[in-house]
Amino acid sequence: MNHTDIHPLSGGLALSVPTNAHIDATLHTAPLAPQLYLPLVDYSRTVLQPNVTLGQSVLAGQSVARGIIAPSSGTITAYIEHSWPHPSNTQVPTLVLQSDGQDRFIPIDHVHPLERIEAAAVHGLGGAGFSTAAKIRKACEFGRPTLVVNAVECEPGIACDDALMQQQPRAVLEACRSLIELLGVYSAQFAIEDDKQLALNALQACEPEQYAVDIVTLPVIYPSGAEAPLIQRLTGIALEYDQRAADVGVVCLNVATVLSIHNALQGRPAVDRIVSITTQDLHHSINIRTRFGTPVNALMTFAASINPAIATALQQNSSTITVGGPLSGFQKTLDTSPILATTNALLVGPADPVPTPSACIRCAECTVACPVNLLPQELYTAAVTEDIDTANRYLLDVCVLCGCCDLVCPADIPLTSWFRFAKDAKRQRQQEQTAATLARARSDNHNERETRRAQEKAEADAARRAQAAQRKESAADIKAAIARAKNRRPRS
Amino acid sequence: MSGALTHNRLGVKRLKTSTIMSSVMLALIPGSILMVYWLGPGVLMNLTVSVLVAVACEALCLRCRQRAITPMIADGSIVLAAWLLALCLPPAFPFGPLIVGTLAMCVLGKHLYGGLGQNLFNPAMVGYAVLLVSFPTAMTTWTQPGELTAFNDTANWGSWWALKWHGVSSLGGSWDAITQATPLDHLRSLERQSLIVDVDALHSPPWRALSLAWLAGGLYLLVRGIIRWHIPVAMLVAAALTHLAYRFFFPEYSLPLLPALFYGALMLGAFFIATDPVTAPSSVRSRLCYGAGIGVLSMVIRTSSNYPEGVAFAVLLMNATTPLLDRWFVLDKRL
Amino acid sequence: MLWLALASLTVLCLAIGTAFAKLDRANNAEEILINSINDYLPQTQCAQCNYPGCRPYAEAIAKGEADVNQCPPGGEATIHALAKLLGRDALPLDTAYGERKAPQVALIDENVCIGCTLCIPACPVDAIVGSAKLMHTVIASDCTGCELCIAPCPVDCISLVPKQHEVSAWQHPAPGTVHRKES
Repeated sequence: MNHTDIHPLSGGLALSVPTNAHIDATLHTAPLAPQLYLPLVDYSRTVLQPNVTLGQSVLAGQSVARGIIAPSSGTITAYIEHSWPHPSNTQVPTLVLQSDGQDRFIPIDHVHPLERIEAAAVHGLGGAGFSTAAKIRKACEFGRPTLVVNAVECEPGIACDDALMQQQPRAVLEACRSLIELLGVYSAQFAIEDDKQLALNALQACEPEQYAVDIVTLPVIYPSGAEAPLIQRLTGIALEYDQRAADVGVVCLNVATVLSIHNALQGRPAVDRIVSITTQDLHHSINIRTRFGTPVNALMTFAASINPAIATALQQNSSTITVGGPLSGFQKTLDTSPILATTNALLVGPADPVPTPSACIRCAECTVACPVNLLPQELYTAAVTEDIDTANRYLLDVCVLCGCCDLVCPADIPLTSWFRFAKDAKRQRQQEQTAATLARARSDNHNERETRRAQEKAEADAARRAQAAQRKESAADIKAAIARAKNRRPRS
Repeated sequence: MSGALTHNRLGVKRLKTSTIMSSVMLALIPGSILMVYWLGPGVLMNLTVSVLVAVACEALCLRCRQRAITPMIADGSIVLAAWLLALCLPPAFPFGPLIVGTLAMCVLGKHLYGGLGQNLFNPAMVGYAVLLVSFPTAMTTWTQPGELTAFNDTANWGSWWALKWHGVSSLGGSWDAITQATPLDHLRSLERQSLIVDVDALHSPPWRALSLAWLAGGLYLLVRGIIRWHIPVAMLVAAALTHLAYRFFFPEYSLPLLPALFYGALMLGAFFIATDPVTAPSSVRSRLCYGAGIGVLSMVIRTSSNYPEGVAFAVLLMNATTPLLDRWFVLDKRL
Repeated sequence: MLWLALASLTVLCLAIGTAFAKLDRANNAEEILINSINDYLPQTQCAQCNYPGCRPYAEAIAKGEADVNQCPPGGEATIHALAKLLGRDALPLDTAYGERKAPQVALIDENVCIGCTLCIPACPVDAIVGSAKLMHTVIASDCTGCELCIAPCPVDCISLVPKQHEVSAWQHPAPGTVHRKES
């Protein structure tokens, strides 16, 4: 497919990385940490109940809670509140797995392939971390889906997919083929940016046509890697309000996720991912295959031991890192927080300081930059006033939180932070309303029943009283009759 | 929290608010110098008083609204608005009404809506409209270009000073000799009397040069990326087409196309007033629609109404449609 | 003539005014108002407002007997919504009726519960199940955290716990606002 076949993306930004950046595409493997931390929280931040007990020994791939598996074999030694890589800076219930170093795997032998994927706990390794099995199931509801493999790196400074494709092109293509077979489709569209020449060469050398993989090169525009803009560019389908890719019958999966699926179908659970570790100036980057649950500080120490630039950067900022890419990342203290499926990159050093915003002059630079055609300035006004209804009218849900508007705003307004705030406020409001509706119905029921009961009791009492009165009356009649009879009968 | 790295680290070029405002002011300088040169110290007095009063009023409003004063004045938006208002006023416009207009601009046009970025209508045009309906005679009495323009003559400054304080009567009988209605007014009265109009006799070179200066400033802004082309181009094309339509249907409007475009406030309006980011819509299509609306309306008002120039009212009318255009072209199209 | 004009105008005004007042009353306007007020109340049925539930409080507001700032669970959001609906001033929450707390649910200590059934009718949303001499329990998803079951319990085995883990309730905070002067 040529560039001419690609649908244009309105908005987006051409971001530049330092031209002399040194990206190390070797795939290093982090040593297995002695203690692995498994936060029991799903992607919607619901706390999960563990289904293992303290002291229980588990195998790699064994379920420890709904959707969470042990990344290696060992013993569950503690159930504690522990920090995790999330902007909330909260602590969450976490299982501590003391690994035994033997790394024994539990075999995954479910018959149905989707069950296998589910049992292997395959989650999206791109950004959101949705359950992959659920995604495929949803997309297949509409018949034969369209398969899009997303190898577009979302942000500069993240090179984990690039490294994977350069090092294991044949495994990637084989994974695509097994997914093609699983879904029963004819081919896969494999989207990749045109500046990843090394990865492209590696893939082309393996003859992707034999795997029914159609490689589509895209000019580099941020955020082409986000789901909605990518689908827009490949298929021309603009996702409607409140739609995800699966809702229009598109299975859009990150390239590393596709490999995870392939492994799951072969019986290997999803226990690791590739993490990019990059210096804050984006000059040096390395890629490390890491077990989930590995503490971030252990990973950083390993990274420093193989790359001197990262070691120097780490010495300068020993306490703070940025979790995520240069646009979506958030600042975090360097501690034993674990690596999760969504942790695609770590930047050494703190985030840039946030400048003081000034008033919005509605210059509409954000509208031009928005890749999903929203009016960020109107959404911003709605978010500041916490006017959720207005924010909905301006399609708050469509916003992909890419951060383009922040970068172009002449007034330094942190628009994306405002939209995150508004989205959370909206979720909160919806939860409150659902709870209120439920409580109201139950209360109405309660009141109606109590009223009915009181009424029934009153009626029953009245009936009883009437009966008693009647009985008294009839008793009096009898007495009177007896008295009359007595009177009539002369005393003998 | 969001955006761990800033724009300059990721190679994104962006303008600061103060850069936008100062670039627009820079683009206004050539035209303003020409105006002062042709029309004398009165223009300079207008500019000074309007800017000073506006800044003072802005500071007072911000203080009353409990907002930080210095950063909001330092961004230059209020100075720019006052400057634009002053450029629209006749040189002999008295101080009293000038102050009233500036206050209307600042309070009515801006702070009652919630300050910078919140106003629905272009503040300078609100001030202008208030003055035009309140002081119609003073607003349409222009001195002839080249009259009373000696800058090194203290007596001349004195007479301007008196003129600005005491109005027309201070000059006595000599007043009539140096004033005229606005060029377009003059033109129209000639047309109404069915006189043949000699365009060059309208002292056209100064006005034409002024329009060219605004055009040059506008092109500078386009090149700098401060404004985008959609609104000015749509406005000028629509204005030209409207004028041609008038000429076709009503042959008595005999002014040729180019003079019509280069007279009056059309160029100033197209590049400096209609492009005000706060009151203009956001997307390409809504901007084209907005610009075209201003172009058509200003020509219609200029030709068919009693007002000498239609740009101000056209801008205000189209300002009112901005939220609708944005909703229609950006959001409703995709639902 | 003047008097005629005045009289006719007065009659006209009275007639139109009465007609409008009638129209306003008609079509169970009162009922509609009560319902829309009730829609904004959080339905915890906690009676902290000194009325026996959310609907009675809504009725009192509609009649003008109660003010809009007596609902601690609703907090500022409810006050603002009601003030806007009724065209009244948004007063700050009257803390005499209580303070806004984080969402909570009742929890019965099952080791202490004696199965007296006293708490069951006290629950306004039927969120407690149990039977005489048998252990009772709270259905957490239905509990509104109204605290009305605390008082009837003879052995004080009911306590209130946070409804969610801190992380589930967490929200992205609002970034700093634009150049507002520090007060």
